[in-house]
Amino acid sequence: MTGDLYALEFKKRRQRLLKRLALYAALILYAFFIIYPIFWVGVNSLKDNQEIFTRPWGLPADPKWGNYREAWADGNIGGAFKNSVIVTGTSVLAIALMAPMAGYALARLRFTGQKAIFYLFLSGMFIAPITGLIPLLKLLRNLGLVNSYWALILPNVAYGLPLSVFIVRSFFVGIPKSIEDATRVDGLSSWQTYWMIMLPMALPALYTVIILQTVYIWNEFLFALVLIRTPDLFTLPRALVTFKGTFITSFGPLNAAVILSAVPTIILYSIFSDKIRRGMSMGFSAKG
Amino acid sequence: MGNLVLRNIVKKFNDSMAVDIGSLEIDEGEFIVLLGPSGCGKTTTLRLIAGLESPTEGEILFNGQVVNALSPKERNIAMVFQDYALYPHMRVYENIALNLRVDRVPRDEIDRRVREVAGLLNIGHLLGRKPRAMSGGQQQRVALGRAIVRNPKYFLMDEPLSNLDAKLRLTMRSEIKKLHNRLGTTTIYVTHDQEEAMVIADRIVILKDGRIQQAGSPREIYEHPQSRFVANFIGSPEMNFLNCRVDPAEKGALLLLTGGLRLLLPPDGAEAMARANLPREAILGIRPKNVKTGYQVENPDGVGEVAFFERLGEVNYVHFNILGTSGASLIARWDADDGATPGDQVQFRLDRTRIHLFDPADDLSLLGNALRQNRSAGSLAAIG
Ligand SMILES: Nc1ncnc2c1ncn2[C@@H]1O[C@H](COP(=O)(O)OP(=O)(O)OP(=O)(O)O)[C@@H](O)[C@H]1O
Ligand SMILES: [Mg+2]
Repeated sequence: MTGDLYALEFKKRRQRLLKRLALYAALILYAFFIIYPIFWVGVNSLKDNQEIFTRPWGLPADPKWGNYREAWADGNIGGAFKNSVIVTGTSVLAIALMAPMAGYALARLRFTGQKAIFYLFLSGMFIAPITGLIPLLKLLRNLGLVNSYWALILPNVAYGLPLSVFIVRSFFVGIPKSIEDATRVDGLSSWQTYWMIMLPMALPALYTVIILQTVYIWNEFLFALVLIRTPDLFTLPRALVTFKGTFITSFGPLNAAVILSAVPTIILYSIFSDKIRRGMSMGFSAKG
Repeated sequence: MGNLVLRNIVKKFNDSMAVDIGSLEIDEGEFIVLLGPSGCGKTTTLRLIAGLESPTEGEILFNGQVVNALSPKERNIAMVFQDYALYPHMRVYENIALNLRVDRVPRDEIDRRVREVAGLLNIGHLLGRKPRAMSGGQQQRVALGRAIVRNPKYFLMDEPLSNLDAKLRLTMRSEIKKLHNRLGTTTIYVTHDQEEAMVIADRIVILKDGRIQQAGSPREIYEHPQSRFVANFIGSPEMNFLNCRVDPAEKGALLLLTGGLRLLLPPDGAEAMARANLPREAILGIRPKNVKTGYQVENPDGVGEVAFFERLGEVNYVHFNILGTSGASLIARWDADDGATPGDQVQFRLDRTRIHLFDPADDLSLLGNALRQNRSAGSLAAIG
């Protein structure tokens, strides 16, 4: 009798172990597919052309750190880096400021047209940026904004807001109503309630928004390609394309440039992976 | 005139009636409990007083002054919420201090008052904690602290103990009462727990479907319930109810409708019933502790067969079916140390001075009921 129980328990445990092993194996394989290309680019960013072609898979015999200097200075990656920081920083700041305000209003205040505005934001999530590209170009040209930072910042903010508003709004919806009753009894104005209570409570959602949008805008390519003309305003993804054309013959610096442009997002992801994961599930599991 | 007055208050949500409590006056320093089943409008009434909702009709007066248009802050009330509603990102100290900070009270005075209140509630050691890192009872104290620190005119508490375990509820309930004795602040307290209400209240206001059923001291409400609803709601175990028929042959006698059991009413009740030409039928109510039961009692009214014996420790109750009736049963207190066994036959006698009578038509008390007197305009004025 007890023997049977032991056998059963043992069987269960073995099954659990096997399941776990299979899971880890799959995840490791997946991670390998993601990490290996990055690793390969990194390795080859330290070689010269000859070594890349003769020993493409090997580690560099004599690391050429000069490739990075070359990419940064001669390839204009340094300037593009600065442009990316300005565009991404300003856009994300604007989104981080506006999204919680809009989200709060849509979740908690009562005003006519509230539903309509919410659905408008929602539908914004389903519009591919490319579909509005020509009108956008015309609009910005008429405003005289083409070929300036604003030509990237304004569309990035506009296209970044829907998802961001959606994420913070879902978070606000989940905060108990009694909290606001308490602020009214405590004598806080609406303004104070927002800044002192609601916004601080929504910080986890806001972090998610900031990280998601930073990564997205940092990598944004379409607007940068169409709305910017002069190379000294190029952001990193745009500059890399030009770089590829100019440095067609030297793959080392090209690889170095790719690594340089990817480093900030990789850092961001590895620091905040936990918050990103929680935020994603928060944004998409939340009710509408 | 009371210190806090509700005058003809009606509150509707989208045309559906939430409360229609009419008028209520509350004196300075009173501890009032709003009591009633779920959905009866207790919270809504409290929120109307707080200024978190505005009445559809009627006026609310503080000290003779209409406050309908004032914000909660301007009314100078403090509220304790059922879920405490502490600010989760702030430490206890900041939670308590926030309303003083908003009022721009000088920093050192805030500090003094927060620490004083924390001392009063024994939460001095928790001031640096966040709400998440505290037990329910501790959060409860913080919520009380936040209310007390501002020295409000009225304390409003919405089921403040309902999230605590049974034991802690008893402790906190006596602490709230002690606090009230010490501070003397007029308190309006909402609960659906009749026992809590009995223990803590100076005066209980019983609500049903948004209307006041009865208002009075716990003792008054317990001893003179004016409707079957109130009688049933107050007291544990619940009051017994028996359907009766008035015997036309014998003045003042009642017959159990379902059998030949015969009871004589207390003289004044019988006289009143006769004089007022009362209905042929009535519902008799009697509390378990007023049914004397044993294997042998003096002048028994009848005999019952034990269905169930309930041993609670302090007091014990016996449930029995009355023989000679079809299904009438009673719960009675059992005083003997030895329990009764199901199937046993026991004798019982109802305490004549503790009998309540209700009209089956409207469930109102037939004995000395102000409500009823108002309704049937004078015909019963003689009943005292
Ligand atoms: N904001 C609201 N909108 C619509 N109806 C409401 C609203 N608040 C309360 N009601 C209704 O008003 C009635 C009274 O509700 P209230 O919350 O005051 O009851 P309660 O006595 O506090 O009940 P409980 O013991 O369950 O807390 C209920 O029928 C409820 O559905
Ligand atoms: Mg309630």
